[in-house]
Parts: sequence; C-alpha cells; structure tokens
Amino acid sequence: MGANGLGKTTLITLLYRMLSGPFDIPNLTAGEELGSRRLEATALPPFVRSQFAGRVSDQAKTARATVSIIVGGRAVQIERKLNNLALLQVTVEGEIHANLNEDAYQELICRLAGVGSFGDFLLMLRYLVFYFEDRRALVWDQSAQRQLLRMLFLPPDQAKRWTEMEREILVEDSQVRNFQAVVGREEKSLNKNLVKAASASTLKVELEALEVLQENSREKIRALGEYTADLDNRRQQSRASFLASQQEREARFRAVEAAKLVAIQSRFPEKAATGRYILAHLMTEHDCLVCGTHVPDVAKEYTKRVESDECVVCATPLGQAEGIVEAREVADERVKRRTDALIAAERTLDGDRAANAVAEAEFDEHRRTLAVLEAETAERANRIDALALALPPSETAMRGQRDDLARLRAQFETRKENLAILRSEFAEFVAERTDDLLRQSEVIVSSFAEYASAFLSERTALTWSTYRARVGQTGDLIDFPSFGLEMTGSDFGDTVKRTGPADVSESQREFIDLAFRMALMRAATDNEAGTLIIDTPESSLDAVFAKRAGQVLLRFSNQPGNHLIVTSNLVEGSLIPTLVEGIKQKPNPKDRLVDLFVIARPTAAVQEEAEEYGRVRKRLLGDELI
Amino acid sequence: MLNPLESVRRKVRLLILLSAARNAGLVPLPASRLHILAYLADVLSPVWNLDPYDGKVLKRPDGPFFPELQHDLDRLVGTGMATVTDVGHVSIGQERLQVSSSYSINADLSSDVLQYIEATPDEAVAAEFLRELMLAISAMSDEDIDRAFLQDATYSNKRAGSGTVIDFAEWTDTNFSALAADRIGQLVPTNAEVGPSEKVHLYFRHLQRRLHGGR
Repeated sequence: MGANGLGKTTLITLLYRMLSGPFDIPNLTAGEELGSRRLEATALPPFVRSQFAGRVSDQAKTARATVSIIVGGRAVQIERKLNNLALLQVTVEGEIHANLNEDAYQELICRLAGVGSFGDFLLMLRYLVFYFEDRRALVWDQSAQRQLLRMLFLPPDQAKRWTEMEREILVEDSQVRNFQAVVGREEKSLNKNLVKAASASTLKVELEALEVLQENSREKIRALGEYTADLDNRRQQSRASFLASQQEREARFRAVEAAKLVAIQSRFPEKAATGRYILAHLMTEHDCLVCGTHVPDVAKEYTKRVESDECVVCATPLGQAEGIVEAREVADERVKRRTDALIAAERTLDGDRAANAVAEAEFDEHRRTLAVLEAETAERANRIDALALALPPSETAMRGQRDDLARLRAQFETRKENLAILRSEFAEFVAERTDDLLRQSEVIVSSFAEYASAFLSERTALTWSTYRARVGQTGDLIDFPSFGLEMTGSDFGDTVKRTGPADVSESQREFIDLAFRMALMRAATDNEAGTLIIDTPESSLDAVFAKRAGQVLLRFSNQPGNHLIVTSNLVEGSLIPTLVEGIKQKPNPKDRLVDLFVIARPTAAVQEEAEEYGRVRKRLLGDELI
Repeated sequence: MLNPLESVRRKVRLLILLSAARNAGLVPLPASRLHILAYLADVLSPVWNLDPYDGKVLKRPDGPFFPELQHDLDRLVGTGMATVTDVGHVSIGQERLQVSSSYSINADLSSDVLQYIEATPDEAVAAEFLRELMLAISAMSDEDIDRAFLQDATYSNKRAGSGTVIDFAEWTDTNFSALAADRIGQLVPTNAEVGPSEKVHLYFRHLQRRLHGGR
C-alpha cells in the first residue's frame, strides 16, 4: 500500500521482471488484441533492461533482488542484478543452479511450469497472473484465449506443436503473398509490353525523327564549340586593349592637366589646393568636378583669364607678380602637343571601348546560343530515352517473359496448395485438441459462475463456443475454441451475449476478467494453487462494488495454495478495510502488509502531508497493522 | 561611357576606404598608394566572403591604377567629400603623367553618407572589412605599402606579364592572394579558429617579411 510515486507499480513490475528476465514478447500494446503476432520471447533493449537503475541515484550498481515462488509444486528462488536484470543464481528446492544463463533458466522454468516455450510462460504471466495497470483483458480477446487455453490445458508437446503449426502457416502465408506480388508484377510488366507492342510502329517513327534532330544539334554544338576559345581570346584581348587605352588616356589627360595647373597655380591663393585642382580639371576635360556638367565655354573663359593675367575666379587684373607663370605657357607648343596626344588617346579609347563591347557581346551571344542548344538537346535526349523505354522488348525477350511468368504461376499455385494443406492439417489438429479442451470447459464455466456471482448482481454465464478466425491474411477460416460471456441487463431479463468490454460497466469489466482468470486457474491446477498479482484494482470501483471486490479477492486467496498480491493507493472506501480484515484472520498479519509509507523513500507530497496520511492510514489499517 | 550606377558604388567604396584610412592614420593618401590599397581590398575580399568591386586589373610596372576610380575620386573632390593636398603630377615617361596628389576624407561633408552606410547591413560588413584591412596595413611603413603589390601573390604571378589583364574575379576565379591568406591562416599552430581579420593581418605580415628578403 502506498501513495502516488512511492513505488507500487515498480514493485509489481519488479516481480514480473524477476521472472521474465531481460526478455519479453514484443509489441504487446495495451488495448490491442493478441491476434496472430509472434509469441516468441525476444531480448529487451538496453534502456528497458536498466529501467530500475534509473529510479535511484547510484544506478542500482550493487542492487540485487530475489524472488521466491512455487512453480509446478517446486520451491524456486531467482536472484537477479537490478541494474541490468542479469541472472545471478537460481535455486530449486534448495539446490543451487549457479552460472545458469538465460537460455538454461528459460528451459528450466518452462519445464517446471509445464509450458512448451518461454513465450508461453510470459503469456501466462501477462494474461493470467499479473493484472497490470494496462489491463490486458482476456475474456474479450478470443485470440488470446485460444493461446491461453492451448497452453493451460494441452500437454506441453501438443501446445508446442500447435504453436509451431500456426507459425508455419504464418510464414508460408507471408511467402505466398510475396510470391503473389511477384507474379502480379510480372503479369503487369508483360501486359505493358503487349500494349507497347501494339503502338510500337508510331513510336519508332517519332524516335527516328528525333534522333535525326539530335544528331544535327550535336553537330551544331560541336561546330559552335570550336569558336568558343577564339571568341574568348578575342574578348580577352579587347579587354586588355581597352584597359591599356584607359591608362593611356589617363596619363595623357593628366599631362595636359599638369600643364594647366602650372598656369593657374600662381593665380590662386596658396592654400586653395582643391580650387586649383577643380579648375585645372575643368580647363583640361571641360567637365565641372562640382556638378559634373560638361562646360567647354566656361573652360574657354577661364583659360582666357589665365592668358590675360587675370584672377581665374573674379577676372581682376593681377599684374606681373613674382613667380607668376607667363600666360603663353598655357598656350605654348608643349600644351598643344599634349592636348593633341590626349585627343588621339581619347579616340583610341573610344574605339577600344566599342571594340571591347562588341567582343563581349559576341561572346555572350555565343554562350547563350550554346546554352539554348544544349538545353534543347538535353530535353530531346529525355524524350528519346522515354521513347526507347516505351518500345517493346524483342520477340525473343517477350517469349522468355511469357515462359518465366508461366513458371512463376505454376510455383505460386504449388505453394498455395501447400499452404492450403498446412491449414487443413492445422484445422484438423485444432478440432482434435478442441475436444480435449472441451473436457475442461465445465469446470471453467462453473468456477466462473461462482466467482462472478459473488461480485455481480446480474446473472452471468460463460458459454463455450467456437469462433472462426483466419491464420495469416489469406485462406479459409479455422474454428477455434473460445468462451463468450452472457449476462442479464437492467432492461432485459434474459441473458444476452456481451461481445466486448464496452458492453459492460467499468466496475464489471475488470472483475469479469478477474473471475475468468480465477476460473481458468482453478481448472488448470489440480491442487487449486494459483497466484494473482493485481496493480491498483480500486481505481475503477464504486463504493458498493469495492466491498464485493474485496470479498471476491479474499475468497480466492483463502483457497488453499492460492496467493494474492494487491497494490492499492491509500483510498477511502471498503476495499482496503475488507482486505485488511482478511489479513487479520491469517497468521502474522503484519508480514502480509507491505506498507510503502514506512519502507519507501517519501515523496514531497508524503512529507508535506505526513500528518494527514497518518490519520487516514490509522483509520483504514487500525492499530494492529501499523 | 561610364556606368553611372557603378560610379556611385565606386564612390561609396572610396568614401569607406578614405574613412578607414583616416581611422588607421594613413591619410593623406597619395594617389598611387590609394590605388594599391583599392587593389588589395579587391583581391582579399573573398577572405571576408565579399565580392570585389573590380575583379580585374591591368598589370603595370608602377603598380595597380584604376582610371575609373581616379575619375570618381576627382568627382568626390569636386563635391567636397574628399579633399586634396599636394596637388601635382609625376611623370611616367614620354610626356605621360600620373596624378600624385594626396587625398583625405572631408569628415563634415561625408558623415551623413557614412552613417547611412553603417546602417546598411551589406555595406556595413564591407566597411568593417576595409577598417580591418587598413589597420592591418598600417603596421607597414609607407615605403613598404607602396611596394606591397610586388610581393602580392596575384599581382606578382610571373605568368601574367606587364600589360596583360590579371583576372581574379571577373571571368575566372583564380585568386592566389585569397588562397595564400587562407593557407597562412591554417598554418597557425593553435587549435583556435583563425578568423578573416587574423588572416588579413597575417597576410600583410607575410608580405612585409617577403619585402625584406624573408620567405
């Protein structure tokens, strides 16, 4: 008994894992029917093996657990490490089996339990002994019932044979379906080729026309490609000439500018370097550096002022000041020569610029033409490939395909027949074994009625019936044994079949299933010894049903040899007091209560509300058990 | 005809360059040095994952010189955003001259433009790159800066003779300088990642060593 987080479910899971070890049946998801999934025990992934290690800070490095059970009338002790579920030791009737590996353990436990495989052993634990929070219902899962009935009531060799035959059918069924898919694909492919053959002549005409076009395009690309290097070379040379002309023009321009600058520098205040710079530039290039306008008339006016020894800015006569350069300096032969050279350089630059533009444009156009041709060719190549694929294979190849398909069909038919034989043998086997099982049905039905009547107001009855199910995804249905549930409802007197858990209330649901499990246990064990381990049964019970549930559970536990382990939250109601009363009637009642409020590390809520929890515990358990 | 949009881009780049040069104490910048810096900025821009403004340069014995850039610089002087001092020219032979004036940024007139640039993400990255470049190169003497092109991996490539076009980003992407800067960055004996700034600094240190006879 405990509160949320104290470890009730962990303890129940621990009990289960002590028996299962690091193995389980994969994909047993809550709420789903067992169906025809593989019932083989498979090794657990590492993160599940270490599920208990994660509950404590030291990763349970040194933690061990031992479980003592009676199985097949023999006292067995199993000791495992808790950090990875590794087996440490197994003792049977006091005899130690040291160094036992999991395979040997599984074989031993199956032999003692009288089941054919470890998968069956795990199935028995999950569907019969343990009632986890995920509540795997048995009474409404006919596929699970058929496995439980097989395992509990058939001799181990017969039970194993049943599983093997069923597995053989499933494997063969899967292979036949795969084969069918292959045959289907081949049929489709042959049909496609037949259609292709019908339209082959039109496709051939188009293909031939496209191949001619393609060859022409390839020839054009090859021819154009030969010019690429020449055109590139030409544009490289044009660029070099253009850049050289730019440099030449710049040098010639600066030569004229320098000459103008010499003329105006003494006609300017000493510090107005920027002004001189601007004017020299204007007088040389006739461009205004300030606003960018081309102004030859202004340049002419400034030049005239320089020639007349006037101030360049305001035209005031300056006279013959010392250091003033003669006006004729500006107009001398040297300036003229430099200006002529500049004009010539500008002409060359203009020509080179234009030639460069042409060379670049030609090269770009050439690349564009090539790119268009290449794109067209690539697109046409795709179409040619598609046409080639659409053409039928040769007559010889098609004949070969027909022969292959005929062979495949023959093989498929043979396998289908084999599968039908396997199914028929299995159906016969199941029919024979159903007779064996029928002999147990009377005990199961009567035991169920006894347990259920103590719990339910409604009249309930198990009915033996067969249900038809397919093994695998194809083939004939096979009759399997199963039990159905009939029950009177509040608005109808006669018993009516309840086909699923949704047809009954939640309180009824769990205890109908428990009653069914108890009945199966009683029928399957000669000495009526069985164990039920139930995690938090109180959650779905109302106040009235809680008391009845407690009584039913006590009745089960009071039968000689039976064991019952129930976890419960500390809840008000009749369930705990009823079970506590039962415990008190037995020897050493304190040993029969695992009080997690005492032995578990308290949660924050338990610490905070310790007083309140204490009061409720005292009221529900009484002084005797605290 | 000069492309007006290209011209605006170059002017913006010139303003950033002059501003970065001022921050690094490199102004006034003689015209020839300014053109060398503009070339180095272009050729090293891939180290910062930036595209160069001009992916080619005509190889000259006197070092890189971009007439269009000079034209735009003249315009910046005209608008007052750049100032000129030591106005003059230097002969490059046969009555051919090259401008030798020195240029600075006019902080008052260019501040609005520079502030706008800093607020534009792409241009701000370019500005950051030029600041790093100028700081790195300011560790060299003026004489070394003026000769830096002689040891630059792209400009000094012997396969390109004088008068040929060095194309490092226009029609081809053979940029030995950026490759060298990356390679030098990888040679640093440290586990720490060498960023673009460090690569540029290391590259200039390498140029300086080579200018003084080192390898």
